[in-house]
Amino acid sequence: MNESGKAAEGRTTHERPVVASPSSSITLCTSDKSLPDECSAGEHVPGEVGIWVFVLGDMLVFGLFFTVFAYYRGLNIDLYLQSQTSLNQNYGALNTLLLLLSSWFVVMAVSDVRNSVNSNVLKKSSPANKDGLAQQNTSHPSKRAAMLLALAFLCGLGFGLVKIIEYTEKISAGITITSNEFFMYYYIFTGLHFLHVLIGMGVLVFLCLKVRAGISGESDLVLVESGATFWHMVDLLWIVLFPLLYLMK
Amino acid sequence: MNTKSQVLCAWCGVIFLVLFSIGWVLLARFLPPISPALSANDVAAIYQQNTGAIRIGLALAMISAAFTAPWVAVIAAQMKRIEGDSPVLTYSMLVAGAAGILILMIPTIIWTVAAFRPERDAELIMLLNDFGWLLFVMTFSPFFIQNMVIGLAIFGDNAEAPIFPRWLGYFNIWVAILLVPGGLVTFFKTGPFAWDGILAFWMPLVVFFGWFVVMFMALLKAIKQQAQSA
Amino acid sequence: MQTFFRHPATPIWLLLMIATGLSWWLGVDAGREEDLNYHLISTTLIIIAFIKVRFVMRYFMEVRTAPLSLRLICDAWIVVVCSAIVWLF
Repeated sequence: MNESGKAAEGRTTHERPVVASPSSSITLCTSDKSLPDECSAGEHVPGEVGIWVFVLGDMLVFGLFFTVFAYYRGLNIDLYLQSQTSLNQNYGALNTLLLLLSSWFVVMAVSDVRNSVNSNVLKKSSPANKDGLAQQNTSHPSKRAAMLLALAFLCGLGFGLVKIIEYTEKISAGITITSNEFFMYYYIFTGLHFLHVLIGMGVLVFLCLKVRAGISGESDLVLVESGATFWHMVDLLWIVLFPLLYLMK
Repeated sequence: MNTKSQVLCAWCGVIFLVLFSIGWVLLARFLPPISPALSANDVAAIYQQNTGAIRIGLALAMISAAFTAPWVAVIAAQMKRIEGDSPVLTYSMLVAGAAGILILMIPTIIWTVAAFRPERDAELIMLLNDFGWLLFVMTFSPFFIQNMVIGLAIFGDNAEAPIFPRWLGYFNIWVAILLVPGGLVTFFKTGPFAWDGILAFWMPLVVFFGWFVVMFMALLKAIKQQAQSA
Repeated sequence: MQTFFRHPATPIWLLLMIATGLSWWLGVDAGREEDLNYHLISTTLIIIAFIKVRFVMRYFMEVRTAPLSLRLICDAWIVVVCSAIVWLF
């Protein structure tokens, strides 16, 4: 709040226009933020449009990664099969379950935040209820959402721990990025994915604190949805990486 | 408002792309890259057979690199409009962009040294060739910071009519992350993470060129908006 | 608590957990038997994974209620990447 105020102050000295410009939004964006469960298909972009530029871009790159892996695997299949036997499938599966669980927590958190934002809007629009009452009613769900986000973060932490145990085992067994082609992909793909997990965990902490401090309106909902979209993408990429690296025979 | 000079600076980005493509791609024929898996004699043969075109092409590429200076400056000018009084992200972008010019320019000279006396020992030619390529492909970090701070600055724009659309912020951060695999070329001589590989070279190259095009359009729009508001 | 179980994403989530367990079993235990068709198992594993991906997109990422363009892009990604992997490996 304070920041935006300052920014607006700086703006006026630089003679910036304050009218909304249509050029700043692209056609994909629909400003309608009604309940997706209630509105029909084709109305609601979860989060802001920008996060989808990033998420789809990232998915494009990982799609390229997967394809490149499948191609080189086909050229030297014995090496890949032999190397794969030294991976521990249980770690991979456990991590898949952890990320799925954390995704579910995030879905529930988004649902909570959405409910409280909507009820807030309803309360404000009806003249009978004044701020005090609305605040009291919305404080509960946002606390629960914060707890859900914290649980999601803990699942991410669990993922990280399993990953670190796994890397440690491999490295102490003398298997590194230069061991062979399979392990090159193993380290680079899981490493880049792990980087995404770390960024996602940072996002979850940020959202958790934000939600705990109180949800003021639609802009907060958009923020939570954007973060959730990113976290689900992290889950989604692991869903493909798990069979690709650990299971395929 | 000096929007005319800003437009000129933005066009310098396009001039860089065109000149660099003519010199580095068409004349020197460095695309696709000289494979890191080649033997010293094969590398030397490339410099010996194509000496004249390589010299001219690299000179053109060297000249083109300087045109990124005005380009970086106009991005900085627009970023400063977002940041106002303490434009630290703008300064970071400017410093990283200046380093970027050198990263584009110095490899052209190192390769030129190889083409200067192509009759010298093949091992030495290969040394210079390696030096040039590693400097050119592996040094993603200044570009990474450059794109990151542009993205962060865009996220910090809380105005009702933001200078850049927010998706451009996400786009810049995406580009920054895509440049990272370039840093892996130190480990590999073949495969997708070698300096001629699809993930360490081609993907960052395509994304980097795409970034110029997208930023160019966004800059023209921002400059136009600034001119109208003035 | 009731709201959690009534949420449309919850049965989907259960399905995803079960599918993960199934893939785990297919990839580890079923793979140990000698006379099985590995190619078929691998193809099945990849297709299960991308079906899971589609559920994550539609129910978790709420692509289900998104504009047509976004739904199409997501489905196109699934089809292209999935068929590329199945075709190449």
